[in-house]
Amino acid sequence: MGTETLVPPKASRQAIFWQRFHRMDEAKFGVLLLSPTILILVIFLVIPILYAIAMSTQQVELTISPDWKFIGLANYTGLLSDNRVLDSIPRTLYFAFFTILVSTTLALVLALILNEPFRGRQIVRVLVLLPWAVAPVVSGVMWRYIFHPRYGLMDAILYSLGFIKQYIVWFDDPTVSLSIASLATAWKGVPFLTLIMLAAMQSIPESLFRAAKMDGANVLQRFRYVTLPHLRSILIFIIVLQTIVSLQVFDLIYTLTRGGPGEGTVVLNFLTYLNAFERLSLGKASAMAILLAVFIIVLSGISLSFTVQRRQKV
Amino acid sequence: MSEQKSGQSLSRRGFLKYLGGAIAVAAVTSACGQTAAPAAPTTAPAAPAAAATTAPAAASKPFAGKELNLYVGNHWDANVRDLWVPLFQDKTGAKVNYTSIGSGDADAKYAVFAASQDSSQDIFYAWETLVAKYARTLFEDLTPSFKKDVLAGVNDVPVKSMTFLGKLYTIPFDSNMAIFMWNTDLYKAAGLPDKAPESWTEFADFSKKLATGGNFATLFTLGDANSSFFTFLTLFNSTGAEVISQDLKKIQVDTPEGLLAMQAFYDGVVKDKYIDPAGLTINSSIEQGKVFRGGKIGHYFAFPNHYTLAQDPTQSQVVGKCKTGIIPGLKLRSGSGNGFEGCAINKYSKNKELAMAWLEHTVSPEVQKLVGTKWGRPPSLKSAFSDPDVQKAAPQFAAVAEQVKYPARRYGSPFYVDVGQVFNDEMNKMLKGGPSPKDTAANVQKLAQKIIDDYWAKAGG
Amino acid sequence: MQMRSLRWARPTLLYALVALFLLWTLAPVLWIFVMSVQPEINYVAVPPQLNLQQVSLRWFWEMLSQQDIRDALRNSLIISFMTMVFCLFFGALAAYPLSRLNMPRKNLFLTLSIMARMIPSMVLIIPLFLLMRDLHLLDTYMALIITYSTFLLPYVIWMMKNFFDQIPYSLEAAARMDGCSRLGAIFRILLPSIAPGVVATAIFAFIGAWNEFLFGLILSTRNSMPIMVKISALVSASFHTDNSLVAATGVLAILPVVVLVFVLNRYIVRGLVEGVKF
Repeated sequence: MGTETLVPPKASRQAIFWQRFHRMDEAKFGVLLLSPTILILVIFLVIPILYAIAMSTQQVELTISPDWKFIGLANYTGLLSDNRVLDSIPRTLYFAFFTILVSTTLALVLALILNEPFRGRQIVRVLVLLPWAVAPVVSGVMWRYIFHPRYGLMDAILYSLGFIKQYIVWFDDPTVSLSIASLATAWKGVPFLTLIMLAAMQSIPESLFRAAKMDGANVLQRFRYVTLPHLRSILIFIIVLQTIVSLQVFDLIYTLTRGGPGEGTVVLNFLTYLNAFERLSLGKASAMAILLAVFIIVLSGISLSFTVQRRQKV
Repeated sequence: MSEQKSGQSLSRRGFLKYLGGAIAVAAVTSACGQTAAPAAPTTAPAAPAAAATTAPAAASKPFAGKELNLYVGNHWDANVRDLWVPLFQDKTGAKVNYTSIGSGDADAKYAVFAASQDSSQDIFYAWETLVAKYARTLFEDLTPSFKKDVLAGVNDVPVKSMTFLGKLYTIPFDSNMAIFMWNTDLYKAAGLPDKAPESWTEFADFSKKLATGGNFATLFTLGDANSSFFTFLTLFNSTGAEVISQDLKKIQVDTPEGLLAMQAFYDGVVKDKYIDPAGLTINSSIEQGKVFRGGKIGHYFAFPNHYTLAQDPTQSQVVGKCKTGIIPGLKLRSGSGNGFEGCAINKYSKNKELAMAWLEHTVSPEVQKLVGTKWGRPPSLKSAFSDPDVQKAAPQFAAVAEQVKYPARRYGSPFYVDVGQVFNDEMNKMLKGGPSPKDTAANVQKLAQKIIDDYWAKAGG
Repeated sequence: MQMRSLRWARPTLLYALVALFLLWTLAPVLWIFVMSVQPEINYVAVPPQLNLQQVSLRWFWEMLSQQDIRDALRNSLIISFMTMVFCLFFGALAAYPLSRLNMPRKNLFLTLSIMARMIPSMVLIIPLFLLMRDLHLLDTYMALIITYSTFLLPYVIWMMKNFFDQIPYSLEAAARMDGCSRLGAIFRILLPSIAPGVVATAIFAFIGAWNEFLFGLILSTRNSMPIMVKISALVSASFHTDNSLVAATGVLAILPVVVLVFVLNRYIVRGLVEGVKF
């Protein structure tokens, strides 16, 4: 599809067309190749985004009327005094922080382990990839089953080991629920993070380790002075990536907690969903999403330029 | 109104149409659109013999060749898709395209339908809160058009609940409301009489005797906004008071009655510990029913079809060990909460005549009989209760017939979920040993009233 | 002495850590699998009474015997496969000039397209729905294929550009000398030479499409409903009385991608590592 521009309409013109085609200069040829993609992205991504931006300047309240009313930036300014938004910010930050902490730490440790030779390493490397492939919707279901108050695996294990006398209800506490959601997000993220970390580790010249060993550095010192400095830029990349992932989390929470208990796991992106589809305040939801996007873009812009600088220095 | 609408839809469509690029892609994509092989329609299999015999031998099929698009929750599949649809197709000659969706996913879909003024579906599934939410933007006002004589035969309690600010938007096909169900074995083991408690005080006494050895006596669903509000109402309704005023503008929780209901939950969970706190994370009455069917709790407030489920040996360990009665009340003898469901017509539908025929079908005697005998829900058609088959198939309806005499309001409203969320939040805090019932009632009053005021400030009126 | 005990301690620690990681990685999947082959009553018991003799696949057969589940699986397969093909084709076309041609502002394109993807996709629901309706694509595979391709393309292009970057210029020059056209060189010489990367990108696109939920929900009604929407429906449906069925559907929904990952893991590891660079 989309290649029709490359196919000559009539056989008689074919020769001329190909001649021109082959003589086209690089920039034009490049634009030609990019054009189908640009067309797709403009129609199905840019236009919807513009539409959303337009909607964010309107009062669209479907519980009240189907009409749109232009209200300028009132949706945006309204967010500042919206308690739901204000409440969900610390939640989102906690969620993002915990997700980043857990996933980065686990990925680092796992990469260090997989960097060591041991029997069965190949198979372990394959197995730990698994969560990467699991859909967030299903992962939400899985983690719900792990912490379910009646047939959860966690309760079953703790009970069987004699740590608890009665099954614990996990999801009745907002912080615990949010932490479980973080764990589930980290669970899915770790495989990929491990892979890129492992690659970065393997690119460290072996000679550096040998030199450090000769200088009498122990395992921890070698990690501190050789491995870690080499991982710095990749670590920043990972943190940015996980921040974006955790700011955009939706499917997982949708099947894991639906935002509960209370609004305990309503992070910003989930609040956008609730505002749009549960409260039918489409204008406000659009404003939220756009602010969130701006925040993410600024954040990743800053940290990525920082990473690039670092890279150039190293 | 209509002027406004057309102007508004023009600007919105114009926004998209303005972009000529779309046309180029349309050419390409419509060619590829064919790749979507038309899936085998999920329309119902042939009507089962039982249903077929009751089908009227209508000679004229007024809607032959027409199609009706039904968009409903997937908990209707076994009944609506498999039983009612074939009957309707026989009766009218129309073809029904049945689409079902997780009831939790309906929000997003309905919102999109409303926002885009979509006409692809004719019938939507609805209950009180969906009625209130979509009354102004998606559901057709049935007040002038639905046949008065048919409506007269329908129980007016559910009809009233499908009415929003004086207009009827949905025809209910059941009068589903919570009743009381107990496990006779556990009652016997606890030395209790084989009868339902007649007041909340007696219920609490029974419960304390049932809750022994780390077991709980009962479980309430308090897991989310909807279930918390519903559970609160089931109890509160038995005080005889109204939680939200008729015009939906004032909430009244900070009252002696509201306090009574709060205190009852507080005592059950925190003080006397006979209500299972796991309920704080459970939002589905089916989960609750499962606990009962597993023989783990002695009694609970159950939907009538739970009795039918409890008699099914493949999913119940309490077959033949349960009885039903009416809910023990706080001030009145009883009170309940409703789970009425019904069908609404898409106001943008291009097929309203046929859609209206479907609504009539859902409250026709033959379908109403199926509601009672196959679904285990109390029918909405008054005459269906006296059908001997219904009485035989569902003995629990005797309790429903009694329960119906007491209040069971659900207070569906556009702000239902937000108000429910306040109940959920504050009751959760209280039941975990936080604020006292008095403070909780005061907090709910303050927070919920603000939500309601905000709504009306925006809605104007 | 100390040395010897250390030599013993290290592998033990290592294997203990490996075991812990495997537990963490596999437990959620294993538990849902266990639930899917046991009657609910066994795992609802306190503590669970898992019984090998009662292991049964009947919940799988029950789900697979339902036409709509089979349809959903088939829909997901077709949609994901077509999305993958779309992404590879347009991705290669776009990545090639970004990597190898001398063009002004080519990085800006990539940055902008990735930035556009930072908008939470739920506000795009309504405009996309309207757009697809105007194009008469609602409830067709094409609506989802286009949507998923659009959402994945920025990443796909980025990955493929990185792969193209690794090919020495001499290879392409040689191909052109042999009379290959510019387009021919892309598809006949360059793409095959980054085959592992292409496979990794393909899997990335396939999984991205397979796992998506929200747009599957909105843009499909009956004919193109993907499996993730079915899962969500099962979970949220209050009528469902048997969690073994939900679990079995969950397993069915991840099985294809899990198999894909296990079979092609070699490419994924290499491809993802090399594809994600600045």
